[in-house]
Amino acid sequence: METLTLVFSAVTAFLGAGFLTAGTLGLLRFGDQRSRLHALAKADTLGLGFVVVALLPWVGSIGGAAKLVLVWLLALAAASVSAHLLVAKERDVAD
Amino acid sequence: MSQTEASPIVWALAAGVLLAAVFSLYAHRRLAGVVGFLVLGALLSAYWGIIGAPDVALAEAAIGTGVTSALLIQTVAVLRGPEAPIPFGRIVLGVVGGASLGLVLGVAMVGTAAEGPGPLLTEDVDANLHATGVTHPVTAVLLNFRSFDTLLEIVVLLAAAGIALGMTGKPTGSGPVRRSGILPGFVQLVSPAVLLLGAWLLVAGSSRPGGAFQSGAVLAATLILLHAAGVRRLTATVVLRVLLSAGLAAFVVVAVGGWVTGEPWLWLRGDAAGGITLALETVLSLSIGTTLALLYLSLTTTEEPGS
Amino acid sequence: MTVGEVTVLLGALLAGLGLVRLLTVDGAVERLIALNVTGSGVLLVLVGLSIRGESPDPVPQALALTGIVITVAVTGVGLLLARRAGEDEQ
Repeated sequence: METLTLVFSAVTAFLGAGFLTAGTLGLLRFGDQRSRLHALAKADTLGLGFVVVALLPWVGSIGGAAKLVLVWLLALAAASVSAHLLVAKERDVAD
Repeated sequence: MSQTEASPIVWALAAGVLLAAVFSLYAHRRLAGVVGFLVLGALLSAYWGIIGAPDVALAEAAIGTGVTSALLIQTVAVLRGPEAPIPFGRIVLGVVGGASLGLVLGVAMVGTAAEGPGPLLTEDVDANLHATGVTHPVTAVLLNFRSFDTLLEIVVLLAAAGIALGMTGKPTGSGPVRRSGILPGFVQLVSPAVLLLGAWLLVAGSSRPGGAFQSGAVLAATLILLHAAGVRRLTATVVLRVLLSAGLAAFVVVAVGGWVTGEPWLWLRGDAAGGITLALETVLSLSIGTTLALLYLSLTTTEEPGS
Repeated sequence: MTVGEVTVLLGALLAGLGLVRLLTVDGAVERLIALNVTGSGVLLVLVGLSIRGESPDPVPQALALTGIVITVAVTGVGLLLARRAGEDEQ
């Protein structure tokens, strides 16, 4: 049981790292700002989510697991708001 | 932590900190340097956490990275100056020179320190911890054993607030307070939770990492967010000035209180010590929060010519 | 190398890099960033020396905390002065 959890965590953590790397690659290689924002907001948040899932079995309590998920939700919200702000600034829109 | 061998994670974080530092120091554009500084702060907080200094990690994340980066970005966004990229030769010279200086100092310190831990105050702190009313050693040191240092630190903050008040001009900003829109909506949604986190950090400081400074920084972050999103504008009102000086006033009261009861001044022991410490921390947290927010506010205003 | 030694070495490196940059650059923002990096390096050395015993020594950690707060106060006032000085030139 223990090794199964370890394998699960390792696989999901690697998946998360893969998505984070993909997001960074997109940030560096995409042509215009909006594609780069897609890469940042989506791929990075998904990668973080996979890392959180990898850590969940090891937390030991429901409260701790809920806190990790809340952290991920907050990162998702912050990434979305930041991406929106960057596009809005580019388009010079009020909000 | 004792004599544990550094794990690969510690090495990786240390390498990350070093790279981020070099990048933020020698970036081609000012804004890139500031963002690199933010990354440096985040990695440094993680490093503090993993080597067993959680209070410093919290303070570095909230104050050293959060508030400082907000102040830096607010300046860089407005300051217009020459931004010539640094020639590569100068970068190499600077990095090599700095790294050699650092290596010489570091190896010298590590070499002499290998002879043993040297004098540590851990036992003295642990022996007297029970009389202070708090159970977390760092908080006891900050607000009890070495409270004189903290008192002077509050004076420094008050001096900075005074300078900032003196240099706050007319407010700039995007006009009337906006209440709709994604950023103000998000900030309005998140601010109560952030304030709650700050309050929790304040109370948690008595028994675990936390305390007045981290909680004050979280309060400052909330005020900065509210101001920057246009939800509620900060102004230099009388209430603000009262809050700024309340921390020092409360600290002096506590200090003199020790002297009045016949003990040395700043003496804080006994049954009521825990409650007094928490009350003092609350007032301190308000002062620290408003001081840091005021520093940000004064950077967003412009001095009108002739005013 | 133990964790404490790595921390002290890292702190010395950061302090050296920051100091050289601080002494060789002109702009206020660059200097303040270098000052912050130097300060962080010094605090790393301080805390690195405090974690060598069985349990960490809390006094240098409290001093490091104080140092961080003072650094932000200096940075804030420095940026304010730089802002005003820059405005006068325009």
